[in-house]
Amino acid sequence: MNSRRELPGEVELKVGFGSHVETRKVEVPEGDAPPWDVTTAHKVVGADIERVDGVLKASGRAKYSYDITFPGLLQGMILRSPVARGKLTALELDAAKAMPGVAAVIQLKELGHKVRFVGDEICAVAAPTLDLCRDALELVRATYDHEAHNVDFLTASDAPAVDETGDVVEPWPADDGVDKALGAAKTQHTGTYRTEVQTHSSLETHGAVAKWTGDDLELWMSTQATFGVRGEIAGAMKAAGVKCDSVTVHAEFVGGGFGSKFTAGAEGRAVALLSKAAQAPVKMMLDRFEEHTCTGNRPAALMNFRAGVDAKGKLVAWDARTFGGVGHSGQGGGVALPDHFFADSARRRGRDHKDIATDTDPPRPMRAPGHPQGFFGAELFLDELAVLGGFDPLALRQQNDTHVIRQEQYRLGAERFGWAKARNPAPGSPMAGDDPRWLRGAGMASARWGTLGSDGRNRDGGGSPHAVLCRIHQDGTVEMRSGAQDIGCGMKTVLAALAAEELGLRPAQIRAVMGHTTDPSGPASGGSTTTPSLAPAARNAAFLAKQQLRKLVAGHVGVPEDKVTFADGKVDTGTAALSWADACKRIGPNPLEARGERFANYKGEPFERGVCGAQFAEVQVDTWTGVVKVTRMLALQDCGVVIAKKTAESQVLGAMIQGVGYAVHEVRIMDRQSGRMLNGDFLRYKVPGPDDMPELDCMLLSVVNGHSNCSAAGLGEPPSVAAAAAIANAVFNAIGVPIRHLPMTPDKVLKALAQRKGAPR
Amino acid sequence: MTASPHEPGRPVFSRRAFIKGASAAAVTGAAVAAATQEQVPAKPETFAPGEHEVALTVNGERRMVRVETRTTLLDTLRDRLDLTGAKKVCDRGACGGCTVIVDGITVNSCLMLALDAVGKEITTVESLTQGDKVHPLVQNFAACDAMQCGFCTPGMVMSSLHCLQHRGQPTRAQIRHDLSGNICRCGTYGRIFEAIERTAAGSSATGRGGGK
Amino acid sequence: MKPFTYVLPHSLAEAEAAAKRPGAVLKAAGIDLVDRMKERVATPAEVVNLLPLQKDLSGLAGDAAQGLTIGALTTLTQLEQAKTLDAQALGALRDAASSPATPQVRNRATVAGNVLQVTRCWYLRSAAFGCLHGKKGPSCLAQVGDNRFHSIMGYQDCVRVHPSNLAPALLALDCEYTTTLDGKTTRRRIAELFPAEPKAELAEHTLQDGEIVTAFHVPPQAAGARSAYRESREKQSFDWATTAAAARVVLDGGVIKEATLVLGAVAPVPMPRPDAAKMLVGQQPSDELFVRVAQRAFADARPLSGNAWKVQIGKAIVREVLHAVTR
Repeated sequence: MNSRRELPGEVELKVGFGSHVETRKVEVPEGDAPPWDVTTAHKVVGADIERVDGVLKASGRAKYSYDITFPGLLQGMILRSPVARGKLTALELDAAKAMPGVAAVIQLKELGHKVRFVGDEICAVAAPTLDLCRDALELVRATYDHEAHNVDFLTASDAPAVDETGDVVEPWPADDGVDKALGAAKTQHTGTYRTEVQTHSSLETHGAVAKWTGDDLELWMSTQATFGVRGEIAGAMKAAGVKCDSVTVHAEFVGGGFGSKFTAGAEGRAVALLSKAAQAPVKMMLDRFEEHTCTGNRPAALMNFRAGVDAKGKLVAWDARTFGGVGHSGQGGGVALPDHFFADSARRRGRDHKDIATDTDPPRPMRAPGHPQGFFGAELFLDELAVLGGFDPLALRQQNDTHVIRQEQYRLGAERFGWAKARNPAPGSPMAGDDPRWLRGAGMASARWGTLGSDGRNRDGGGSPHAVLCRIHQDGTVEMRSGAQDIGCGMKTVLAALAAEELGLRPAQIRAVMGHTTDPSGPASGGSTTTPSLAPAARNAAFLAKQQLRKLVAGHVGVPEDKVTFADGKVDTGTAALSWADACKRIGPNPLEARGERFANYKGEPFERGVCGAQFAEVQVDTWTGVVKVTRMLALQDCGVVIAKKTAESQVLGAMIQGVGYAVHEVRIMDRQSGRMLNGDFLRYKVPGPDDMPELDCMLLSVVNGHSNCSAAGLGEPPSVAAAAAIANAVFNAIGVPIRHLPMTPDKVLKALAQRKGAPR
Repeated sequence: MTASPHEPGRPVFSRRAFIKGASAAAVTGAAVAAATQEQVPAKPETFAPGEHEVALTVNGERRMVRVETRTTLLDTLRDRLDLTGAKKVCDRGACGGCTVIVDGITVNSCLMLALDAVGKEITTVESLTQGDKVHPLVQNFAACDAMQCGFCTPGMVMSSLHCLQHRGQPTRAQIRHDLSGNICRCGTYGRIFEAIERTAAGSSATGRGGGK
Repeated sequence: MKPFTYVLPHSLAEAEAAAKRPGAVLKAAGIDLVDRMKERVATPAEVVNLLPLQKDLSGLAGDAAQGLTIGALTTLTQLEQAKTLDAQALGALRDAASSPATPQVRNRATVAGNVLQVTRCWYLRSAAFGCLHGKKGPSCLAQVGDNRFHSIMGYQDCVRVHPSNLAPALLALDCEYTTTLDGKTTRRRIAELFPAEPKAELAEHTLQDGEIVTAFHVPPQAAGARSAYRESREKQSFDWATTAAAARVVLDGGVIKEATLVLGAVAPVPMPRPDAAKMLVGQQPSDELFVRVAQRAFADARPLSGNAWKVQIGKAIVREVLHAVTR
C-alpha cells in the first residue's frame, strides 16, 4: 500500500537498492501519481505475474499480421534485383499485367535508377496466391547494367590495412597523453577483433495486410512502431499522389522485431499501393530469404585496441579505433565500448570510427546496436590484458569499475556462479578429472545500457506526449489501452500489473490492449524505451481513474474521499467494504476514463542514468571437432523497478540465447561472385535450437532510479550486451588462446587450439 | 505406453477418403476397379494442375476445401480454413513453426502437399481449446511464460503435445530431443521444457495471471 | 512451386510407367523434392506419389543374425525406433537414422528418400544460380565460390557433397538394394547405387528412369559384428553433417577380424576407405591405431580453398566412430 500523501511539488524519495540507498528530492508534477521508492511495499508489481496474453499465444488464437485475412484477399510479392550493383535499364511489365489472375502491378524503381544490392526492389504484383504472384514475376523482363560490386567490407577500397593474421597495421594517430601513458604502463597490449553480420531472424517476417475503405487505409503490419509507420505510410501515399484520408495501423501481436521493424519498408509502401490499385485487400509478407537479405542486420565490425595497466591492474591508457562493415548506405555500423572502465585512463578525445560501405542490405538497429560487437572485442581484449599482467579478469574489472551497481553484480555473480572453481587454472589443458578431449573454461563481461528511456515526448511529429488510457466499466471491467505495440517483451502484462497495483486488483482482471493507432500514442519499441515511456503513463492513468471512482464511491456512501481505499479486490469506505464489482455498479453507462500522460522525467539527478549488468559463462570446447558448447550462463541485470518479474526474466534469458548464436553460430555468408547471400534460410543460418541451449540463470536487481513515478527502466537490450563477450572470454580461458573473430566456428577453434603452447598435432 | 504411430505397415493412404475433383478432366483413374477386387490394369488417379475440391479431416471434422496440386497443407490450413495457429516461418521444414500432427505424428506442414494429407487425421493447435476449456499444456505454457513474441509457440505446443503423448513422463533430454525441430528466436526454450514437465507432472496453471 | 499433375499410382507398375513419362518425377515424402520445387530449381510436369504404396514398401523383416530387409519407404523414425536395431551389429543404422534434420522431418522422410536425395549445395539449390550439376550453367560455382561445406576428396568437375546420413551406414554394412524396372526385380550391392565417377552430369545415384528402389537388405551379421555412425556438425539442433563416418567391425577375442570404414559428407558420393580399414584387421583396438587409420583415410584429401578445416575434423570423427564401434 502506498502510504505517501498525494501531493505535487517537492517530494523526498529513497532511491537506490539494497545497502546503497540515498535520499533524493524530486519535483512531482501536478496530476501525476505519487512516486514509488525503496520503501514502497508492492502487492502485484515485482511478482511472478503470468503474461496476460499467454493463453492467447499458446492456443494459436492470437492473430498476427501474417494471420489476418479478408474475403477476396490477394497476395503480394516483390521482384528483386539479382544484380548487386548497377542500374535498371529496362522493365517490361505487360506480360505480367496480362497474366490471368493478376490484379495489380506496380513499378518500384524508375528506369535509370541505381540498383544497390541483391534484393533491391524493382516491382510488385498482386494475385490470388503466392504461386501466381511468382508465376507473374517470372514474366517480368528486367534488364540491368552491371557494375563491379563488393560485398566484403575488408576488401573495400577504404578498408583498413590488415596483415595476414587480421591485425590492423596502420600506425595509430599520435597522441601525447596516450603515448606517454602507454610507455609508462607496466603491461601493454594491442589486438584486433572482428565480428560478422548477424540477421535479426524474426520468426514472423516483415509485411502487412492493406485494406482500403474508400480513401481510408488500414494496415495490419508486423511492426514495432505503429505510430512511426502510420506517419510514414501517410507520407508515402501523399508522395505517390494517392488520395489517403487516414491511416490506421494495427499490430496487436507481433512475431519478433529485434530492431528491424521500425519502418514500413518497401513492402509496407508497396502493399498499400497494390491494394489501392487492385481495389482489394492485399497481404504482402516477405519470405525467409527476403527476411535475411532485405530487412536489415547487425553490421560487421573490425575493432583495434591498445591499452596499458599499472602494477595494480588499473588501466592507465586506452585507445580504440573501430570500423563498421555496413551496407550500401555507408551508415549504421557504430560500435559501443565499455567506457566505464576507461574513466581514469589517458584517452584520445572523440571516437575513432569509420563505416565502410558494401553493396549489401544496410544495417538496421539490432538489439543493443553496436554493443554486442564492441563489448565482445573490448572485453576479450581486457581479458588478454589481464592475463598478460597476471590478474584475474574479474579482479581487473573490479579494479577499474567503480559503479556501485555493477560492483554488486560482480560480487553476487562470482559467488552464485562459482567463479573461482569454474576458472581453468591452466588454460589449454583439461581441468582435473576431465576427459582430455574437452577443455573447460569460464569467462565474464560487463554490460551497460545508456538510457532510462524516453521521457515520453512524442517524436513522431505529434508534439503531445505519449499517454495510456484507463477505462473502468460499470461491469467491473478495467481496460488499459495503448496504441503502441507489445512485440513479446510483455508490455501488456506491465500495463495490467500497474493497473492492478493501483486499483487493488489482480492482473487477470485487467484487459490490456495494445497495437491500434486509434488508441493513445506510445513510442516505438526501440532503445528499450517502451516500458520507461509507458509505465509511468499507465500508472498515472490508473491513478487518475481510481481518483474518479474514489470520488464517485465517496459521494455515494457519504464519506470523505480520503477514507476510500482500494485493496484486495475491495473498495473500503471506512464504514463498509464493497466488492470491486459493487463499487463499479455506481458507474453509469459511460465508463470512467482517464488519460494518463507521460510527464517529463523528474528534474535532478536520478540514482542511475542507465542500467547495468554482468554476465558469466562456462564453455566446453571439443578439441577433436572444434565445437564450442556453452554449458551454463548467469546474467545479473538491473532494470529499474521490476514490474512483471517473469516476463522480465524471459527477456534476459532470451538475450543470452541470442548471445550464444552470435558468439558461436550465426554468420551471414555472401557469395563474392554474385553478391548474393548463400545461407538465407534456417538450414545454414544457424539460430540456436533447444539442443544448443546452455543452463541459464538470471538475477534481476530492482533499482529505484527516482526518475519517474515508478522508476521503470527498459530491459529489451541491456542483457544482449555482455552475452557473447562472456562466452568468448570463457573460450579464451578454456583454450588459452583468444579467438578474436566471431562466430567461433570449428575452423577458428581448431586454428586457436593449434596455437596453444606445446599443442599436440 | 501408447502404440507408436510409427509402426510400419500402418496404412497411410486410403483411396476411399478421396473425393473426386469437380473437373471431369482431372480424374482419369479407375477407382471402381479396386472395389471389385479385379486386377484390371487400371490407370493411376491423376489430378491436373489447378484447383480440386477435396475433403480433409481436421481436428475431427471433415472439411471440404479447394486446393491446387501445388498447395501445401500449411497454406491450406492457414489460407483456406482460417486455422492460422500453424505459422509460415521458413517454409522449408527447417524451423518447426508449421508443425501439426498428422495421423499421430508431428510433421512440417509446409513440406506436405495438401493432397498428401487427404485421408489422414490432421490435428492443429486449435484443437487444444474449446470455448473456455483450455488444455493443461496450453495453460502451463502461459503459467511458465514459455513464450515471448509467441510466433513459434503453436508449433512448440504441438511438438510438446506429441512428446507428452508418446513418452508420458519425458526426461529433460527427451524433451530437448523431441523439440529439436522447433526454433525460438526469442529464446524461450527453458520455459518450454518447464511447461512440458509441469504438464507431465499433472499440475496445471494456478489460474490466469494468478499473481504470485 | 510451378503447376504440376499429381499422380496416385495403385501399384509399382503404374508408378514406373508414370515416372517414365517426360517431365515426371517420383516423390516419397517429398522432403527433398518439395524443397527444390518451392525454390523452382525442380519444375516437374508430373509428380508421381509413392506414398500410396508405402504400406507395402515399409517395415523391417528379419534381424541381425538372419539378415534384415528394410522397406524403401520406411520412415527414418520407424527405422530409428525399430527394436531390431538394438543389435550392436546394426548400430550404424540407428545412429544414422536418428541424425538427419529434425523429428518432424524424420517422421515422414523415408530411407530411400534419404539415400537418393539431391545434394544440398547452396549454388545448386537456388534458382538464382546456374551450375554444371544442375545443368543450368557451364561450370561448378562452388569451386571458385564459397566451398566451406563442400568436398575435400573424390570429386571431379563438381564438388558437391553427398547429403545422405544413411548411405555411409548402408555401405559399411555391405548392404544390397532391390529395384524394379520393366517388370523385373534386380538386387545389387549398394555400392552400385552411387556413380563410380561422380561427374557433374550424373545424378547422386545411378537409377534409371522409372526404376524404383523397393528395399534395402542387410546381410546376416556374424556374432561379434558391431557398427556405428558418427558425424560432426556446427550446432546440435538441426544441422547438416560437416563430416561423417560409418564403421563396421567384427571382434573376436578382442581382436578385429573384419573392418569396413565409409566416409560421408566429404565427397560427391559416400567414400569407402578399404585401405584404411585394412589397417585394423588383426589388430587390437587402440586410440593410437585409430589415429593412424584416420590419417590414412584422409591421405588423399584434396581440400578446396575454403574447407581444409574439414580434414582434421573428418579424422577426428573417424577416430570417434572407431572408438564407438569397439567400446
